[in-house]
Amino acid sequence: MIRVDTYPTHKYKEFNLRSGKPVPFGATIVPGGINFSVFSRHAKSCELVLFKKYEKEPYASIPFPDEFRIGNVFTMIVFDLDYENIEYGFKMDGPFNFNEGHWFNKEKILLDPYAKAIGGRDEWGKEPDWNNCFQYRSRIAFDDFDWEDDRPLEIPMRDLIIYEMHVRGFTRHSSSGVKYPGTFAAIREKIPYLKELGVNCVELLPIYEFDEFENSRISPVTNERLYNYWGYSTVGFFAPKASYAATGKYGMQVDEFKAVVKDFHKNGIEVILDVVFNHTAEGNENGPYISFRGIDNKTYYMLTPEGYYYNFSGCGNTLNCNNPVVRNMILDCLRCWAAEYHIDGFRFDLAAILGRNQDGSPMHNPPLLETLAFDPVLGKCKLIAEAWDAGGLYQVGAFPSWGRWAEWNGKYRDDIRKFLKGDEGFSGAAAQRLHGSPDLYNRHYRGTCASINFITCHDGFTLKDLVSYNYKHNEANDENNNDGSNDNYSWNCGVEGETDDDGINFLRRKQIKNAISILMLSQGVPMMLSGDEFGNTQNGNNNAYCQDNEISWLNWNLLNKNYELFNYFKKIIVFRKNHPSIKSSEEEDYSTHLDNGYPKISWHGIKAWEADFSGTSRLLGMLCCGKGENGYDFIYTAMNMHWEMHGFELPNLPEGYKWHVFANTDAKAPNDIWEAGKEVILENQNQFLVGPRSVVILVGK
Amino acid sequence: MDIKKYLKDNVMVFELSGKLDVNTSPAVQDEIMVQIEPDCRIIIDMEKCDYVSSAGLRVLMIIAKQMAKVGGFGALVGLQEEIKDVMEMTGFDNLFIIHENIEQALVSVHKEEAI
Repeated sequence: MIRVDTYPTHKYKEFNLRSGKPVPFGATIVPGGINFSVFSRHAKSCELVLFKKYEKEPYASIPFPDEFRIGNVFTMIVFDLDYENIEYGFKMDGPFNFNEGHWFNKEKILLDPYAKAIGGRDEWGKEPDWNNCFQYRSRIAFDDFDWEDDRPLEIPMRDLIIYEMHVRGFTRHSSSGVKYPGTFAAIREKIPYLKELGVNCVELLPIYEFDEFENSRISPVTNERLYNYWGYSTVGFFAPKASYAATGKYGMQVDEFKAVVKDFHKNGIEVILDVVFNHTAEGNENGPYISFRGIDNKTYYMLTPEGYYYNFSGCGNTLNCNNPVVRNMILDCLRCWAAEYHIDGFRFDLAAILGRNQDGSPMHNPPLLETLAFDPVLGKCKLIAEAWDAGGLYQVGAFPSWGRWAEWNGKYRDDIRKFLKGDEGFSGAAAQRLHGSPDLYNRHYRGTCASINFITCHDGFTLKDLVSYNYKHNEANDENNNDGSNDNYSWNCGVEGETDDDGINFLRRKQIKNAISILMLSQGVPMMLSGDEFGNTQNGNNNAYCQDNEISWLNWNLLNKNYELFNYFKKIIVFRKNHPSIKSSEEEDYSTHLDNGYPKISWHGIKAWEADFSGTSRLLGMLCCGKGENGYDFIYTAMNMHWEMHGFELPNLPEGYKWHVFANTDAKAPNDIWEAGKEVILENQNQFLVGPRSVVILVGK
Repeated sequence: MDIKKYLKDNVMVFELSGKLDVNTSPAVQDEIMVQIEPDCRIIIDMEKCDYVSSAGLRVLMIIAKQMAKVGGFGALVGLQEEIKDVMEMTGFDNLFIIHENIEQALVSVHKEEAI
């Protein structure tokens, strides 16, 4: 049946028009045409500017007839557009008054904030034509991908093992052995590898369209171009980065990324996106017009009473997240990724900003965070906050959660790093962290799964560098080594940087194994940094945000060289999966003891049942007890972070159970870790001599 | 874009040469769609097709979906490597049976008939 509403009612030049639907915002394919809809509270008028794909000059500009405006929304249907072959933008006319916060300029062609595909920058690192007045072009995306039976996996938080990775850096290095290095498609080729490693969730650094040329410059130190490589600066919230797709030049990034997600899901791996809603790529008062600034500056950005941009992000501007319109945009965006891309969860960059009021003050019950926590479409998505911002708001342990939000546990990272390098008096703190940080996350209210435990992430040293450098070495970033954190709590094991010293290299490998052992034995959700499993290095650079080169690309040659590490990671991950008692306790079960009288988790020292939490302690024993299919499951972990060997008295086991060694990081490979089920029975069941700076893991069975 | 069609062993073969893009894909779509009916056997030979745009891919997809809907059998033949890669990377490949040459494709299309 042909519908009457598929006929135009108005005409502008050769274009047939009809009043549009105000929602959804953006460009939507409707029978016979495209429905365009864009919000602006302060604009007086708006024009739709149409381009043929790749052409510099527009071929048409259609003003939204005034009678088509509904409230603060400009909307119309344009019929008979060759939508496969066009790009579009908007021109907005309105007041220009800095103090009032208005930046309207009717000459600027603006990206649709709701553009689901963006053209114009289809190849990474290809220098754009800076004279082009319209760099980022909204395109019309199809939502016709064949998902077959796929949907988000909904793996329980307690079972999650997160692998944080950069889309480009993961395979860009020549050693990666993939067909199209540095792309979404290349990740698919590495899925078997990730499966072998055993992780079941990848967390991708930003994949929304961003400008790698933002603040780009040539480093005088290396003579190499520095890029906005990490991409924490969004151009378009609804569109995947075109140049991350091998098919970006065909404009098929949407399909390529969906194919990656589908393939991950087929292999039991979830996909979490690192999303950046705290600021945009438009920068401060000197930044470019890309979209929001020209569409409704005062709505989209937090402004001082004088009209300047607040800079809680450290990146020039702050998105006005708790303005109801912006809040809805964020919600629409996340819903789009959850529904159209089957994304399993989101990690919110500098999320404390999302809890700031429009004047910048922290709110008690931020409506945005509450909305996301209860949204029906996002109902099963993981929500993870980086619970701080660059404006000094630090909310680790106190991020508003409604039982839904988890946090990057920065305290976990710092305490475990200090414990690991042998700082005295950190045994107590380590016990808290291993226990899921009950001091930060109330067991009854938030539970251990609120804690995303990590020792390394993209921001800071890699694990290899954490045990190879005392100081950051960021000279290549061209900021006189002033950028990046100074609080690394790292130790170089005796020499700064690479060395041929076998003793030091053995110790470094051991420290890496100690670290991953502690991480995988901690309650909460472990997150590891990609490449740590084979000792990837950034040569001491702890802030490689601008390094699109060998500094930050994963060097896959190291996988062979350091197979010993990969093997250890793989086995310790399997171990975690096989032993529920070392994962988070069942959230509905608050009992502290099992029916055999053993606590579920208990702390020990040189003497069993006598933990030393004193100010000079560097030792910690942890006994986890659970009920497995074949009786009780005991896991005893001795952590000796002292530089001398210590004997740990072993806790008694019930009749019929014996201690077996699963891992001993002081032993040379292949005796450092055993296959699950092939643990070696201990001759001395009463005491274990734990080597200097070593972790020993025993199972009682 | 040149579209040649001929019958081989009771299978309609469409031989495309040139660029399958936004300008040429409507004609290809029109030409092939009218042939899709229950139990039809169709092979699209793309050996001489050196470029396929996203619009071209979508036409192939529409053809494949229509084929599945009415219960016909089709195969693609002679895809250039890059085009094959694009189809794979964008998840379009599971819509088609892809073969190296016409002979293989004929066997497979006839096999479908036997089922």
